[in-house]
Amino acid sequence: MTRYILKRLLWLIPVIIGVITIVFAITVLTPGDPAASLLDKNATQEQIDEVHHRLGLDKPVIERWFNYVIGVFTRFDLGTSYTTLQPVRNEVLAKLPYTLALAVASTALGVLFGIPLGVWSALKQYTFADGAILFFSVLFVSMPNFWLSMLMVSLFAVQLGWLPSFGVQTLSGWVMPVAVATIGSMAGIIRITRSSMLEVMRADYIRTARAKGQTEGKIVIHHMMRNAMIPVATSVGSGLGNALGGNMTIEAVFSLPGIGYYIVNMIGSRNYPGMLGGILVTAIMFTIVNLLVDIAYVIIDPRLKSQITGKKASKRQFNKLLRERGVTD
Amino acid sequence: MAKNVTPEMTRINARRTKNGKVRRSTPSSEAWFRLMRNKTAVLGLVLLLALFTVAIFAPQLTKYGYDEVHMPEKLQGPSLEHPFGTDQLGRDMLSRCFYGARTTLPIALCAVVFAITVGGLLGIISAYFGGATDNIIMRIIDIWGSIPGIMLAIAIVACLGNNEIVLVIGLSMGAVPNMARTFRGAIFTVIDSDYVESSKAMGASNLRIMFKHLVPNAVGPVIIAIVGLLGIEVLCVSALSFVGVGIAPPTPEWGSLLSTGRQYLTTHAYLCFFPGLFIMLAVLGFNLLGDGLRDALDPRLK
Repeated sequence: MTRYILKRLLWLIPVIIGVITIVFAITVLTPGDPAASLLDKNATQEQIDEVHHRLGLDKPVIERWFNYVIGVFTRFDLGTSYTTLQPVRNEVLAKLPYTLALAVASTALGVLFGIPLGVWSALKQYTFADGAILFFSVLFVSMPNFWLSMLMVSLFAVQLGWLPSFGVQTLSGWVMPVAVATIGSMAGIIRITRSSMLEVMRADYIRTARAKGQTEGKIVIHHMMRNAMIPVATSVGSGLGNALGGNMTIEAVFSLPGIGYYIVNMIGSRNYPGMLGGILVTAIMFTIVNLLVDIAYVIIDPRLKSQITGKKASKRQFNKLLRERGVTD
Repeated sequence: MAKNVTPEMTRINARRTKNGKVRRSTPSSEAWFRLMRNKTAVLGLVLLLALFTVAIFAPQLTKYGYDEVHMPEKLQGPSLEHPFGTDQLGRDMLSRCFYGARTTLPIALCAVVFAITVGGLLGIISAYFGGATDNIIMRIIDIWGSIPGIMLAIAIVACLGNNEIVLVIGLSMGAVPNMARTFRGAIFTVIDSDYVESSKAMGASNLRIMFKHLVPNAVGPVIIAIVGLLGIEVLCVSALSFVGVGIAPPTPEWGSLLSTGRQYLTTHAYLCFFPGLFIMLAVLGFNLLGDGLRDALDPRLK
């Protein structure tokens, strides 16, 4: 178990280097000169060279890439913002709590409401309640979250005046962004819970449990839900990961100063260190979340656990089990 | 798909013969039959057909051009003349929404095709050759996939330019890791089959085995993933335009229409309503069709 976790933690290193390389490649391929966009149009060549030197753009690409990688690993140095001349690390870390709070709150609420609704919907398959839950979940999954945000602003802020239309200085400002993000994640969780439950409900061991006279409540909780939750856990994990990057439109509508909104602003001002830093931190968070989900997975699925801790652990079998569950081996 | 005859197929065959039409039932025709019996899937298909009709025949279906500025009629609410109202320059919102379909849908389609080509190829190669090839490709895919797709798309579009081609490339690059994993997983389910072994024994080339035997037999989960991806890409195209890195105005695009409408949210909310409705209908169409396909191609679950 410890070896597995250690292995997965070490995997973070190539991921970070890889992400830096990908984003670096994109910025290198970019047409135009960031220095020119920082200065006014009739800047002299000397001024441009001076800016180049200050930003370190006069060095070869490989050297810049190498220095950046070393900086990230030794001092978590994400470079200097072109526009504010502040360390990008400080700017990004100041935004991180907002993005994390939104993603964690909405995923937690989504789980809290989504799983019971999904289970209920599956147990009442083909009834009106099931139909209604299914209808609303597919509707909300299909709704762009920025549109839902605007509809809610129009209703609750403009028409009714109950909530502020943007800003998160007060607690009431958080209500709408969290609600919009929760509705999206909840709809996804309902769908996956329902289909996973329907699959499990047909299993032989459910029939066995009924045959030996187990009460219906125990069958649902001990036999159905425990088995049905495995795909749900994957989906919740990847949903949390996606929320870290995908809520930027919500952040934009509500002026919530998170990383997604920061990246969008950095792109607008051609501030590549800012953009690179934001994407890097998001990718690291994304990978850590996936890592935690995979570890949680090994813990909740006894079949995987025995593969790891058991004496007869066969690496091949273990990897096969992991692959079947869509976990990175 | 394997051409086994199941009792269900014999039943369907018998019924079709009774109606005077003799048609052989294959697994794919059976799946189509099941799909057509599924009301929500048909609703999804109808929605998509309607939107594609709107996209193709936009000039015939609209009274005004999408860029016809008519200042005296600016910011009018929905009326018979302008069912969706007019925007801040007096342009007809109905025309702009209809023409928007011509921007969003083709871009989403192209992005999906591109993502399938690159991701599918990587996934097939990875699953077929296995071993070190599989390991290397999948590790690269893992790193690639650790950047959220929409962020990769935004970075590519913001850096390389705001045009349709870059947008297609950016969006598809964000979707490649997912597609590669789907194809790889789907191929894995059929790679140990006897027919693969026997065609290998008969000396079939790798390419032939991959595209004649493996891909057609693994097509079920792949189709479901593709339809799902189409919905996601429609959302991504409009999200990118909404944050200002996709299609730039004046070209009508649902996301950028919403972004413009946002400035009038407090006074003219209808400007924000209709473009979003179109996005939702398109995504809903793909999702309903995808759910229907899942049931049709995997009858165990229904």
